[in-house]
Amino acid sequence: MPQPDARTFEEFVRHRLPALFRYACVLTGDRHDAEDVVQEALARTGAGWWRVRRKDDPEGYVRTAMVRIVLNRRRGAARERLTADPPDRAVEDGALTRITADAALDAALAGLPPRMRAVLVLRYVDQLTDAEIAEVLGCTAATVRSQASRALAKLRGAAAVQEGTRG
Amino acid sequence: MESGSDGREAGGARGRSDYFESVVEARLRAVRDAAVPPPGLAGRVLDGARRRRRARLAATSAAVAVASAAAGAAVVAAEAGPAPDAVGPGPALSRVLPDGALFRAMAVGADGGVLGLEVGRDGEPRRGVWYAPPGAAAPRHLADVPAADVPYVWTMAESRAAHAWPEGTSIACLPAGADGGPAYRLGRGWSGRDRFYGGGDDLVWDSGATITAVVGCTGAVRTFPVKGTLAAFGAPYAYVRSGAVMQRLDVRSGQVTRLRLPSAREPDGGFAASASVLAWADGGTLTIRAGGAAPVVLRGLPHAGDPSYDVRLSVDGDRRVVYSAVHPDGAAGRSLVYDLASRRRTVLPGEALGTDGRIIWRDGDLYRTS
Repeated sequence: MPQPDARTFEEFVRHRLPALFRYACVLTGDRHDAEDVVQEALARTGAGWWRVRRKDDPEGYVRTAMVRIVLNRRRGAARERLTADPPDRAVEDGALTRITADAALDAALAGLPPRMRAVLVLRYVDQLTDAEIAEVLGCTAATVRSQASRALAKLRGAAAVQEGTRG
Repeated sequence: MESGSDGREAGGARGRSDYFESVVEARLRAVRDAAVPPPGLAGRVLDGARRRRRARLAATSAAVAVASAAAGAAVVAAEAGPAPDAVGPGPALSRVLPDGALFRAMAVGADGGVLGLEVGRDGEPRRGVWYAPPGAAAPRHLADVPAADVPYVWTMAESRAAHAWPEGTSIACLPAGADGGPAYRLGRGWSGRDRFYGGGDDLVWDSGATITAVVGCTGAVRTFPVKGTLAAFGAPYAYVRSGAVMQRLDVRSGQVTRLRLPSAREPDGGFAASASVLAWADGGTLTIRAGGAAPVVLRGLPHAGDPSYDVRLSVDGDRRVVYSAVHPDGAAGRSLVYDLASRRRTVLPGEALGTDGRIIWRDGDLYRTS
């Protein structure tokens, strides 16, 4: 049976907005973009709520809508991204190294094309199989594997550069 | 299992193939877990949804007005000199219910009776189940669905002996001729998600590796173990699909014949059938197989490829196939009727349903029957 707790759109938004916003954040890498995406996805969903709510998984429906919105947005519309280089590093310590590494990875993730990032999110956050990712993205599983492979290669390359600059 | 180019399995559990992937996963999860919605976002979301809904209703109302005008012209042409296959004007059934709500037709019987649900002007379903007897100018109230089940009333069925609609994972069944009263509850094993069918005297549903048929609401129950899922029904045949094989099961005798489909893929627009015709819609094409003739493949279907429209196929017997694309709000849609005898297409505004030599279609605030 469909989710019994999703009788009204207002209830659904109240209960699930935090999780959906978090998902939008990881999908876009930017809070402002995330806000736009979650609003757009939920506005679409709410307009046809009586149809959506009989689905097994309305939240999954919204998450898929968010992925597709992100993929269809103009690439030029992306907002300012995080920088990989934090301010002056006066000393080397573990915490700062970790922050630097995280920032470098965030920057590398932010630099990925939306489709590559979406593949990684669907794979590592949603734990979908490649076939399931292919269904969401409207492509073949082979394309998913190719995109994932290229995305990871880019991230590895960025990590290697970061390691190199740290000496 | 297929191996990915980055050294991981293509399916199954998400084992990381190396440390770096674990780092990426952890970082993505950290970004996700740190995010908190900004204050007021919920209110903005709800306002946006309300605005979107109002805009959609305004747009679809305008579209219906234009389409209805076009339909009027088609009907006049048919009256002036109807081709043998024309979808001519028939008795008009009002969609407007006494309280101003609308009647949404969901099933048509062989006698022309129409079963449907009460919906608000905004397309929101309500509790009332209404029925218009053959030739009636307006439907009459038949029953109320429990409020909790209203969102799941998405299909209905008519047989000569019964009216049927879903209530949760049961099928509510009211004997034909009953003027209200408590409905019987059928549907043992029915999932609540698959379409059930009426035709002849039978109601038929898929109860999981079994096709169940019952005469009326209280007649003998027959069960037929099958491999596959119920895809369509055209009395007396249940069409059960398993991959690229379609079994045609006679629910009177249990006899099975097999048809080969061109693809094992589930067609996105589903199947429809009569005793002699099988049709399916997939990827913007409508394929019709009738008897031993070569299949007919039609393109240029209404709203093809638009995921915001729901597609429903129906067959009116051995002659016409109806492809209906309707917006979930119920206010907009178009249908294509294909006549197998004349090979003529007719486009109608709004939804249309065919059964046993009849087609019912929406014309503004009326349903017309051909």
